[in-house]
Amino acid sequence: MKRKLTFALVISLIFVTLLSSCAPLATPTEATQAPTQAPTQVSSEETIPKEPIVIGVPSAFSGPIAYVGESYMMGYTLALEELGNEIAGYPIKLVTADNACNPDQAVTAVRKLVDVDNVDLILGSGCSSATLAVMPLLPEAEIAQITEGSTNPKIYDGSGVGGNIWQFRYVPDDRIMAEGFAPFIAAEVKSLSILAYNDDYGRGAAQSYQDILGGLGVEVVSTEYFERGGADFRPLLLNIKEDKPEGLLLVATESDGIVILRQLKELGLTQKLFARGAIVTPLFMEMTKKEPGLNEGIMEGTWWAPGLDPKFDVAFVNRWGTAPSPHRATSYFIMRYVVKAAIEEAAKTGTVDRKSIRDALEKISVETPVGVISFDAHHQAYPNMAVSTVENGTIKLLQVLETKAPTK
Amino acid sequence: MGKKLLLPLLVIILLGMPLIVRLPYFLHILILSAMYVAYALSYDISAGHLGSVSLAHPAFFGTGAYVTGILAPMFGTPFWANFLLAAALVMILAFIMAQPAFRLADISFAIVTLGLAVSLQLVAQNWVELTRGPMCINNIPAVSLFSKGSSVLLSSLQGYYYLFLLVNIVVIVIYRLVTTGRIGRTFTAIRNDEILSATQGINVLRYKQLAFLIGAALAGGVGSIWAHYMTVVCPDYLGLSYTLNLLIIVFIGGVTNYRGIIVTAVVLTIVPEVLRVAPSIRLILYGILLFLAIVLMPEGLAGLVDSVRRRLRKSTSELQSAAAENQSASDSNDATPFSE
Amino acid sequence: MDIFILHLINGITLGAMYALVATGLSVVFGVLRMVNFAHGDLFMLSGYLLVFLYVEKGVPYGLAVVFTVAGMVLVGFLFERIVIRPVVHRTWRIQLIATLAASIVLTNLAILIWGTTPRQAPTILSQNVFRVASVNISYQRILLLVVAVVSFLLLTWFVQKTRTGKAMRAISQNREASVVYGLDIHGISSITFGIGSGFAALAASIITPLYSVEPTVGAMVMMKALAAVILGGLGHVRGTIYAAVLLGITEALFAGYVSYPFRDAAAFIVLIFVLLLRPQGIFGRKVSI
Repeated sequence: MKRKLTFALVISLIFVTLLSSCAPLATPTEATQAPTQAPTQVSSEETIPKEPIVIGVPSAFSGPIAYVGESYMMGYTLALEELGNEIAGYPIKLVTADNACNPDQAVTAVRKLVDVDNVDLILGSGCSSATLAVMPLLPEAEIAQITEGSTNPKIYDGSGVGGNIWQFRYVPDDRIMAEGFAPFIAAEVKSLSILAYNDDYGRGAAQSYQDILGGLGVEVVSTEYFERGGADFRPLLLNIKEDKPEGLLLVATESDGIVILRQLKELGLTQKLFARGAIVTPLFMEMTKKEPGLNEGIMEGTWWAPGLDPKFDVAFVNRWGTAPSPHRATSYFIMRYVVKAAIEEAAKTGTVDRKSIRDALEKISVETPVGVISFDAHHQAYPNMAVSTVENGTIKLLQVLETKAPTK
Repeated sequence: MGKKLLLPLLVIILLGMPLIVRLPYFLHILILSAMYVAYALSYDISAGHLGSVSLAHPAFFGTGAYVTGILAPMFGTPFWANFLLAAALVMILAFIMAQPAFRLADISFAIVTLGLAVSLQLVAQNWVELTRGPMCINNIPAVSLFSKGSSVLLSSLQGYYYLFLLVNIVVIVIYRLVTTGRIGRTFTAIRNDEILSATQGINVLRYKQLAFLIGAALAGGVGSIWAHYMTVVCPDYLGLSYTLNLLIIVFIGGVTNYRGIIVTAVVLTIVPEVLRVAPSIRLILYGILLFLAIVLMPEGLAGLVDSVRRRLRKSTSELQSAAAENQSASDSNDATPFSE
Repeated sequence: MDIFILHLINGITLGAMYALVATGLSVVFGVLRMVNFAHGDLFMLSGYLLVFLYVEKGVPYGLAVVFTVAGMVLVGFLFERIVIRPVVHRTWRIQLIATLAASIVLTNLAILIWGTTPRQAPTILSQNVFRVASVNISYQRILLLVVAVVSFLLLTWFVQKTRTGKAMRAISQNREASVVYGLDIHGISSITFGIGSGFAALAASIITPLYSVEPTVGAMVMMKALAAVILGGLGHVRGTIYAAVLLGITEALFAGYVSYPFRDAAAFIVLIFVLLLRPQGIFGRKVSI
């Protein structure tokens, strides 16, 4: 009996502590009202500093793709530093929340950012599974989310006129990108194998290229999927070697790309290589310093390449001491141009809050090194994509392509 | 006397929570910890009470979630039907898995269940036509009592809080039913000495499988409700990270001690959110805690609390009455789990 | 036919890799009667140690391998003292949880120290390829095969001929009697663990240049190694080696001919079928744990 007593005591103690911890944390909710009035009161004054705008970054900071969250933060931080850590006179504060790329934790992370950190805008949530889990929360909390990396077509379909007016996406999905890059592949080879990540990004890309390449007269001989962090690709590569396609399209990022290309070289595959991910990037070159030539001659079509914004290329290396990559550049462009434009636009209304930022996102049209960025009816942006290749150990930008809404 | 007062108090506190806790974030954390309570208790039935440490438990939870994720959008069935169907199908799955697994003992059993769980996760990952693979199933409808579209109330966070409270009551009642009384005593006998139990005419294998199936079915049911709440089901649900979470909760809380497990599940869900420590630091701390718990106090934190109290009681003059009280209140969890 | 041989060669090198990892596990099981679930993390730590020595400090590869193995033997002693000794007399469940806890700590410690971006350690051997007819195999993989065979022979010699090896066998056969005869159980345990950890280091030193190292790299290798240990018969080292090669070949053929994404299930399917026929493993005697 005494046991039960203590048990009940412990339980109630926990709840009491929880309650008491709620109380002080609940007060900042009212604090969010402050910035909504502050600008109107002090719009002409510069003596009173404006309330900071808090931006939440839920992403994978742990788990197998933690480097994604780390990469995004590098870009955001650099962009903010260039902006003097303020936009339209508002100091900007970044808050991160780890979601480990897992839907459960993604929901927890966004709820925390919304309720406890009182963020005004969300830049996330990394993986598509996380973004999809978070999307239903946005209308309820009335907060906008700009997605930087999730390429699942379902996000396009469900956003803007698709129903969820709070969801925006910067990166074009693969239905969009394949239409730009496929003609380059068709110009070089008549048959192709596809080797792609076994996730929404890899499967989405493989499906898109299969559909479009068929129409361009390229026979897709085989499509194979593999897991991130996989080790032995030789069974796949041996089969591709046996199928003898003219080309091979690789949908992978740096870390797995290195291992695949190493084994591809070992097995003596001579296919013309194409990539859709992060193979022809300075970061890849940096990671393979000890085995140069691994990505020689590969042609890649992706949403960023060095040379698009030479100032960024230099600034990034100076700031972080490591090379940029598509992930690292995307987040930079989002903060440096898109978020900046949206907050400036919102500031015109006199109040910068969750709602005015969302409304502003629908209105903005901003000139950037990767083209004019604005969000269409499905809240999709269309930054340019780049086709580049590696010649004698240096990356050469072949062409910059404009992207447009998917035809289907 | 105290008990009479405290139980209603506890009920009032639990029922009143959503009225006080208004922030969705905190409600979500409460719901998450409620899910872990039910999930961990369902694991303890077989892993704790019978010592069959399976590493496949998330496979049951995940399969339950997938059953709902696939069927609910298709047929618009009410949540309780999904719950029952998920539990039933997962039980069948567990029965099939039990056939090879229970022919093995101890560590081999653990590793074969691990292999089965990995294989099931590969199915979820690669059978794209059925599970949508890594693209995940999304837009799972909110829970409804009768059919599609009815009962808006339950789809609010408050609604889900009460729903998970209800799920917990169901799980705790079933847990208590099977771990106390005649079946519970048999479980204890088997855990304490398998060979001796067998010589006394107990069908050890049948009881072990029974516990395994009940635990699996409960996990499947919890997974089903969780799918409704999350609206998304991904192959991650079947993954090893959930196994580690379960082991941490059950073994730090104290195997076979449902109070300890409940408290640990709630505390370990809430504490990292309050402290906001980096996940790797958190896991390092949990790892160390788990190691210390299993080495120094195999009965878990709850066992530690008990033994400290017993010692205190001994030092006071209450010794006699306490012993008597302890005797009468004792249930199956008095025996040292994993005694050697 | 041609491609079959290529898949087969692929499977044999894969098997050699699993065997090197599994041997350490098996030796430890043989003597201490316990499965160390943190073995994969010792493998991972060895990979980072190699990257540190060979890539960052520029130590020549051969020397870096020697230092890595030596360093990890010491880590093994330490690991035995801190993690294993408190649980060596306890039930298998406690050992399972304790070593899993150690694994959680080590994995996350690695994430904290090195981050999650995979590290590379290419060697001259891994970048040059031996080609004959249609067979292409990097010299690093040939090194892997050679090291596997030589190290197994050395291990066999050590266990059969040396005093320590004989003591290890004695403890493995009858722990109580060994105590009665005055064998230094703790000392032998330490040495056994050092050997197990050393094998993990040897495996990692040869394998890391072929692939890459990241904090979770141990998990999958560890699972295959565990399957091999059980398939071969718990504690039966030679059985483990055969089983590892069998699993490697099965996996490679399954990946090549049946389904690449499901290849990780292949090992477990084999394991389950074999265990249904022989619950003690292919070479195992009936042991009570």
